[in-house]
Amino acid sequence: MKKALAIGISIFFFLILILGTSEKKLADFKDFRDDFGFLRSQKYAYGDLYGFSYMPEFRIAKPAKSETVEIVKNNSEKKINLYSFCDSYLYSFVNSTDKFNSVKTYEYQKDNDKNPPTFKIDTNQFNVLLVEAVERNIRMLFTDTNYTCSKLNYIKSTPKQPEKYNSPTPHNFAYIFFNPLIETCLEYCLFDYALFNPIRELKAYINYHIFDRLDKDVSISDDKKYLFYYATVNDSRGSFSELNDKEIDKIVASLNYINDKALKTGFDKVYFSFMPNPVSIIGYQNKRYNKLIPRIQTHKNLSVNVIDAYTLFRDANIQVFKNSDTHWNKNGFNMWMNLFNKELDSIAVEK
Amino acid sequence: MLFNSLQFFVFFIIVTIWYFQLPHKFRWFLLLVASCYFYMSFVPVYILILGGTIIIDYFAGIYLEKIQGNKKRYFLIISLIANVGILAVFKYYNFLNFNIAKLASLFSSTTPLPYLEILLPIGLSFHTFQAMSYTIEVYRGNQKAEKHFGIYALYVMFYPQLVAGPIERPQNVLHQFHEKHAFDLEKLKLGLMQMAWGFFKKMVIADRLAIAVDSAYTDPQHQSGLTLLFATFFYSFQIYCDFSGYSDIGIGAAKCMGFDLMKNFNSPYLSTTISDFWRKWHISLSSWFKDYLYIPLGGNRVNKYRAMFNLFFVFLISGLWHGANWTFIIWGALHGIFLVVENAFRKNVKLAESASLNFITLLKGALVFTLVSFAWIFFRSPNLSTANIVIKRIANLNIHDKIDLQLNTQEIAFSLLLILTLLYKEKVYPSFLIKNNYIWTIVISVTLFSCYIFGVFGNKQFIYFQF
Repeated sequence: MKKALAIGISIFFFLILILGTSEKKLADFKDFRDDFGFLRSQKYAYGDLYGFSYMPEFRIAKPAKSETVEIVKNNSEKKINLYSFCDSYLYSFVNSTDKFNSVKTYEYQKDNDKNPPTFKIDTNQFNVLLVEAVERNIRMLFTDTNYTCSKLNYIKSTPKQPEKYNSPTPHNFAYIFFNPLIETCLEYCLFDYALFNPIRELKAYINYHIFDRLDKDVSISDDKKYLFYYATVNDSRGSFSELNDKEIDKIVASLNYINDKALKTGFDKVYFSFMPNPVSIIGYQNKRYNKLIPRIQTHKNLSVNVIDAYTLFRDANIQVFKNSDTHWNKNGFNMWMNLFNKELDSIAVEK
Repeated sequence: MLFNSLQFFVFFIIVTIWYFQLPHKFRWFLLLVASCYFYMSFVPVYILILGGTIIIDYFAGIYLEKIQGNKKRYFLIISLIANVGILAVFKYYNFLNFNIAKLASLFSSTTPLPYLEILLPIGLSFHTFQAMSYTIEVYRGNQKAEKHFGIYALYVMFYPQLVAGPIERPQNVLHQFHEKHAFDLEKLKLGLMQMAWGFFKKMVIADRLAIAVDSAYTDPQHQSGLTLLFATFFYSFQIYCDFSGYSDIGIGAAKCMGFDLMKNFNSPYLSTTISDFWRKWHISLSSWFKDYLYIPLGGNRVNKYRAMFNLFFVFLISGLWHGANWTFIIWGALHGIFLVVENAFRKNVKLAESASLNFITLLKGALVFTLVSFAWIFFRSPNLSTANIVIKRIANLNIHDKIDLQLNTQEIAFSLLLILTLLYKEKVYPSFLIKNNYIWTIVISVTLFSCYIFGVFGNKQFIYFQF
């Protein structure tokens, strides 16, 4: 009996180790867990910043119906092929055509995707490209034009090629066994369950209320209502970091280049939309915002179309960001969708 | 693989269970494969260097046993040069090159040697010394050459002590790989308890103190003398808890499988002389230097001045062993000087030792701790100018200086309480077996729970990994 138990335990942990080193198997396991409420991951259940810090004050359950702003839909003809290069602001909220007006097909590339799909542009259709980026990533993405262009993959439509299978090379063979993200994967497999939340929260509570220490990835807003991503508050590329005109010039030149290149390749319209860091709108410890987004959007050399999320959120008199998350809430998303849909509706399709 | 990682948690459970499930004749293979996996999870390619050392010393051991006379001596020298050569290339080449270039620049000259873009393989100094102790012991006839290549490889690579010691002797460990270890619940309990205490020392004490130490030593120019004094005091305990914590986890992990590794620490901060400190701090390295360098140099059986030189020289080399940086050399030299001076006044020291006055013992303990902590300033500083700033600022401290340690008052008080707990625990309960399984379960659960609740996470590497 003892022997069987020992073997059972070792097999269990061996499987956990295999899961922790295989992205594919981990994804399957994730699907399996998502089917069972009590097994579901807690990391993002109450917002990504709660998942970093486990601050009990910020375990805010999602309201059943939180939106006060609705998406305004119309029955306009669906004629646009929409492509977007976006981050989690967009791809975790929308991945099909149903929220867009006038959009026939929708494809997207994630900004953090190691092998993003290539957009194949059919120039007989009306093609729109949307480049969306959150403020904290703008300087990383757009200061170096080559960097973004290397990430944004699109070609004019060609006959479909069979997908090439990449056989494991010695490099990724080592990766199978020595996955650099193994700690995160193992934590997900072993401890990312609701059952452990009280212990995690106790630790976070002691650290914050007794030792004045928070998780290194988060900060708390002055009114204690919001968690902020630390990188947006105190990082060298955060909302209050130094930002000179030369860098803005560079970013604007880069945006213009990306815009022109996309138009030449076959896109009929290109839009850029920059999502402000919550801290840029809400403010933090009387620090002065470096105005990255407004400085880009009002730059005299900028010759691209912008969906102005910054002004939209700054002037909103309702809450547009989640309290324990780096992202917008339903209201923020719906407001932005309405603005973008309005723009899509106004496009005169000539093809 | 770090001991304070989930990967190790899973790895340890699998390896320990399988170790007892497999027949004895396959166990060495399991441990060898597991040790390779453990080492390769840092930088896989460096296993080749380790493999090279193992092959050289395996054959060296066999030949050293076969041949006699001068040939034997030459063979030992060749084997030692091969080991030290690998260490020299990876650890000291760039340091030497940099200093030669600096020297050459004084004479308006340059050196043609290029700098090598290489990373120091983790634990290189440890396993090189362990391998060298094998060839020396075979040469001396104290150890039979190991014929089983796998067992020899395991002697160098045994995962609990591969990366940061204890630096074992073949007489202590090699035979244990041949012996069949039956599952022993009491040993498992002792091993797990030692591991739990090691985790507590690392995650709760060392990594907490590291917050204060790192912030002070990163920018000493802008820190007050009092802050740096506290940071240095904390560093003395940080490095102790970090390193002895590692040893406890390693020794405990080996004990769970029935292996007995040598003790590496014995409450060193309760020492009343510097020589006593070195009998209790990093025992496996101190005894290595004593057996393989100090005694062959003549030890103290030579004239007074030569004995002083021997002592100083050994500690200078010990400093260099720790790292290719002048700060480590000075750290070693300081300990050498302390010991030379202490030996010169040995009569008085003995007199004081015999006096059973608690006050004098306390005073001596405080003096030893102060001297050791002073030397740690060099050990912790990234370069000599940082050490210089720290010393100057501490020397000119003002009692009204502001203390800024990145820890609030409660956490400073908590850290001091932890240090007191540490000293008390190690003095009164260095290691004890709890017979009652229920009490054992409660004690280990509380220790591990405290590790989680009060631990400072972030997978901070162990300080001695860099050596």
